[in-house]
Amino acid sequence: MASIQKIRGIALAAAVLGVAVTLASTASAAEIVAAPKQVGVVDGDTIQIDGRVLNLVRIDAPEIGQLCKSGGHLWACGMDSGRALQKLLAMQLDQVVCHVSDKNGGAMETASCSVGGRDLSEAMVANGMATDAGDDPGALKTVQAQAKSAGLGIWAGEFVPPARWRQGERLVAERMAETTTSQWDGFPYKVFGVRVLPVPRVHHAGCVVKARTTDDGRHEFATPLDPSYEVIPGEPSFCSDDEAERDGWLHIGQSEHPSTKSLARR
Amino acid sequence: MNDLTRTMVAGFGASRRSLLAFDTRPVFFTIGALLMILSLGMCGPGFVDLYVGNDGWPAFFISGGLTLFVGTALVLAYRAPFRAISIRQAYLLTALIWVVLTLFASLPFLFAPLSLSFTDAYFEAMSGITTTGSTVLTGLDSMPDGILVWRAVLQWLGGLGIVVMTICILPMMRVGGMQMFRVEAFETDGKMLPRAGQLSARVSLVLIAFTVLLVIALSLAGMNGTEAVVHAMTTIATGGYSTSDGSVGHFDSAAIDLIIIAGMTAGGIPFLLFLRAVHGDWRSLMRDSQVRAFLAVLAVATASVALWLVARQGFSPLQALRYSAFNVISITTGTGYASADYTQWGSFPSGVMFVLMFVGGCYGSTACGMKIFRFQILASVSSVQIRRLFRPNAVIFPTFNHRPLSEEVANSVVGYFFFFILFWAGLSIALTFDGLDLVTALSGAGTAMANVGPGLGNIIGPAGTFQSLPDLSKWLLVAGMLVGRLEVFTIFVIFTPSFWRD
Repeated sequence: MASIQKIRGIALAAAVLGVAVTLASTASAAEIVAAPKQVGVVDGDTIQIDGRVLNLVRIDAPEIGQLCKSGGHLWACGMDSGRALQKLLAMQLDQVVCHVSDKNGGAMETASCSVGGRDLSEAMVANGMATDAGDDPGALKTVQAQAKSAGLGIWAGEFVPPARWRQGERLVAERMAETTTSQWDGFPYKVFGVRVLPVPRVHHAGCVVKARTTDDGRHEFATPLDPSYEVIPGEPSFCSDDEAERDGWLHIGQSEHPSTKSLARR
Repeated sequence: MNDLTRTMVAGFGASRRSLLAFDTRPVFFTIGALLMILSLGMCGPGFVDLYVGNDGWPAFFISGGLTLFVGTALVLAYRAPFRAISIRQAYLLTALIWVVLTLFASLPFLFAPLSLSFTDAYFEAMSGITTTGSTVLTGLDSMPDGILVWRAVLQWLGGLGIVVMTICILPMMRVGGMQMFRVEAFETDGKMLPRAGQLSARVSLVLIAFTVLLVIALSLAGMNGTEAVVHAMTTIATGGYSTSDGSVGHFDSAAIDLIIIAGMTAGGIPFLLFLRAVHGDWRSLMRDSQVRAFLAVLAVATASVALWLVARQGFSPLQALRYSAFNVISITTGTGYASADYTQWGSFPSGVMFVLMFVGGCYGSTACGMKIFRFQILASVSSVQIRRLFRPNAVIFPTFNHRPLSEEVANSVVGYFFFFILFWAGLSIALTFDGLDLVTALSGAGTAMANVGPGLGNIIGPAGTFQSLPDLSKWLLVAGMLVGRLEVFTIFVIFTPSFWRD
């Protein structure tokens, strides 16, 4: 009888220990800490740390090839949003701390990230480089209202909300700019056959996410913010990182997660 | 230039001459000559892009061609025998130079494949030429070399321009107490003599020598060619344009930080004193009360911020000293580099940086801000007033550099402070009217007028970007940069109705 109780006791202790270990491992997996220089920026609302691609919680930034209009002028708000995030990180001495909240069904995870106490999502919304994508009324709504009333960033003019942009909606001028392929194309005036003034072309407009299949069969994508974007072979195939990820492609340098391994290798 | 253009340009000049109380020909002639120099400056980045193989090179040659054409047209149309310019011509020239040159300097930004609006291009050019260093560009790390070099050339020319102007023109114009720096035998009967050219050439040599030294030092410290040239030019010009979004922090090198610290400090010291030192007179450099005060401000501010970083932020003493010295000197001299986001260090460093941005460097340097000598004069005047309160019969005079100050200089400095603060307050209110929050507005107006670079807060702090700001705010900041760089009075004078009358 006593030995049965002893076995039960040991089993209970083991179970408790197991739960504790599981909880501890879950907690460590939920928090990611990295030096700012080790953080890659995929676009204005997505970062990559140590092979994990993280969507910044509660925000939706213009997609990487998206253009916005300000005072009749088109500007690469998607690229600039990503660059603003790069600049924000480039200046930091403190570690970037991310709390992973959930997986959105694919290889990307959603995370709340901060550096030196400054929330990255909030900072991006504050300077008008991302929109508040959450439904809950909170501090971010107030921050967005301030950015909107000051006409900061994308709020300076017209833009298609990123969610609708991903579905294919475009500003009229934006659609025209996407079809311009060269800096020198489209200029109407020539002197002795030589174009006198260049037409400023918006670089990286439209569907600019490159995709390639590596020799070992890995399907990966890169955005113009990736340092290797210009040199890697592959054609622009996707309009956004979300689209590529939904289709089962992994960001360049991203670790293969068990849940997406089958998709990535199809 | 064809006959029609010449007739039009000359006709415009003639009609202006008949309306105005003074001859504007020398003004437009000088602007034309400077535009020709600027057009040469545009070729450098063009050749860099050609050499590297970037497709943005035509932007520089097209801009250079347009600038050269207009410059030549002005020179030919307004050439007239003149040996000196009057004080009114000097005021008009000083104000117009920066506005017109900036307009042409913005052309490469417009024509390059950057998709910048005219507002952004003009902002970037004005920030460059006034050696402010606030930028609307992000993605500098992947920017074509030509654009990076053009931004550096703009700041270098702007730095040279301001040194020449403060040595040769501003003393004659008696702006904000600068009359006491009048070089003897330099001015007669209110006319400037060609000696200005001689002195400018020597000062240019000092600037070139510092630039070459910095290029060598930065290359040895690990920068590549473009990075070393750009940082050398923008360091000595106390401009602050970098080749990376992470500014100098991107290199994360103590050696580079130290070299740039030395370069920025040199940029804040009067260049005439360096010229004297070259001729063997080192004592005047050491004895100058302005230089001493400048170095004392840097030392005290660096030490206090470093102490805070050790005590409150957990930095090691050496690390604290390195980051504190770099950022304090960068802000005080108006350079505007950052090696870290100092707004994350807590309230005290932010407060110190906010105050320091107004202090600036010495007279006759490339540094910006209100200038150390004005604070010294104001302190001397205030101290005399305090002493007179309890010794009403005492004969006490304010002094500067061990010499008594004239009442005219003291009044001029007080007037400068009044107008500077008035314009800063007005600019801040205008920025809040455009929707900016108070921290962004106050620091934005301050950083523009003191020609520093970054402001405070999330939006325009060292980790933020001026790109996000609405167009009206950008134009307000452009005005602030111009007014600050031209010592406030220069701009206000030409808006006085009687200036244009007899």
